[in-house]
Amino acid sequence: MTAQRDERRLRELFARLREEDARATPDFEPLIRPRPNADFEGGARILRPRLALAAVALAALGLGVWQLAEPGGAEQPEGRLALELQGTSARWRGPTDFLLERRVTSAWRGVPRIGRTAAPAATAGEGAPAPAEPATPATDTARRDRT
Amino acid sequence: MPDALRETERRLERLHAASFGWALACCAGDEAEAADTLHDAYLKVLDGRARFAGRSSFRTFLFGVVRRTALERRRRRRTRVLLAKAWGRERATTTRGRDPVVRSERSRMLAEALGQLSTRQREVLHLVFYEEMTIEEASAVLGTSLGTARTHYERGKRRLRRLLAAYFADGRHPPSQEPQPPAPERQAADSSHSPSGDPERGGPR
Repeated sequence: MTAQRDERRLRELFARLREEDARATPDFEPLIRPRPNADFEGGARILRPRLALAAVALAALGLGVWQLAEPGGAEQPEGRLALELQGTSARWRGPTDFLLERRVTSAWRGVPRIGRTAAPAATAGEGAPAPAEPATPATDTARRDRT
Repeated sequence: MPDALRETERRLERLHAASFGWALACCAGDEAEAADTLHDAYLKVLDGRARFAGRSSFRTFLFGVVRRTALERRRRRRTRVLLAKAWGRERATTTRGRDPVVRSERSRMLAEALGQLSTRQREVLHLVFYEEMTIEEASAVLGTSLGTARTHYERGKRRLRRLLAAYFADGRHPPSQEPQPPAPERQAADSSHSPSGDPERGGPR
């Protein structure tokens, strides 16, 4: 009995709320016509999240490709090789040798293999580090090894 | 204009007042936000982004669209506010404040009590008592099972009764404080959208 009376009162309260809301109902016609978005003031609008995410992904991809691509890496000039061989010994490690310790070393063919190239010519079977040789013979050795 | 589109417009207009009431409930009583939500929802229906497949009544379908649109707008607004704060652009956020509907003391009391319920409970009670839907229709609007909707309805009703216990106990009516009289032109416009004259409104439970 009480529950029924409470429910009736609840319905009355909701009916009154509905009547009051109905007075504030906006006109129908303007709501079915497209209008410019007026949520923001000023010209600068924040990018939509999906678009921003796509831009970030693209930028990351571009950066990765740019870092991996070695400009002119495959064709190292001979002159540069000779220059880097000056003053080296068999145990000397080139500053770029860490690049050769990757799984895919073929990708780094262009990196000058300074230590190994210099070893045969410098040590000549003695095993001890040899004194630095002039640039021209070392360059010749390196060229002969490759051919 | 094609006949199908004109027919959809007519259906939307018949349900306009009821839809606005539902939009208000979805927007926590903010009148301007409810109008914007309704505008977005109507455009979705009219340009085919939300398509009525005929699996339920048109009213159930429309209320579902309004609810989803309100959620999307709330989510989008929250993201904008967060981004604006992160980028130090406080003014980039929406400049419009909350715009609540003017209500009487009794309706405010009910609205406050409803505000203390969980979202699901509030939605089910609104659809059943305010929109006079069945619990089954309410479950279709909310996208839940009938059992879940019924549970929310029962618990919500019990809690609402407790919250309004003082009012129910002695039939005490709060001091009469009527809302401001509406503008004459709005009153005239509203008379054509009276909820009682809505032919698509389903009967009470």
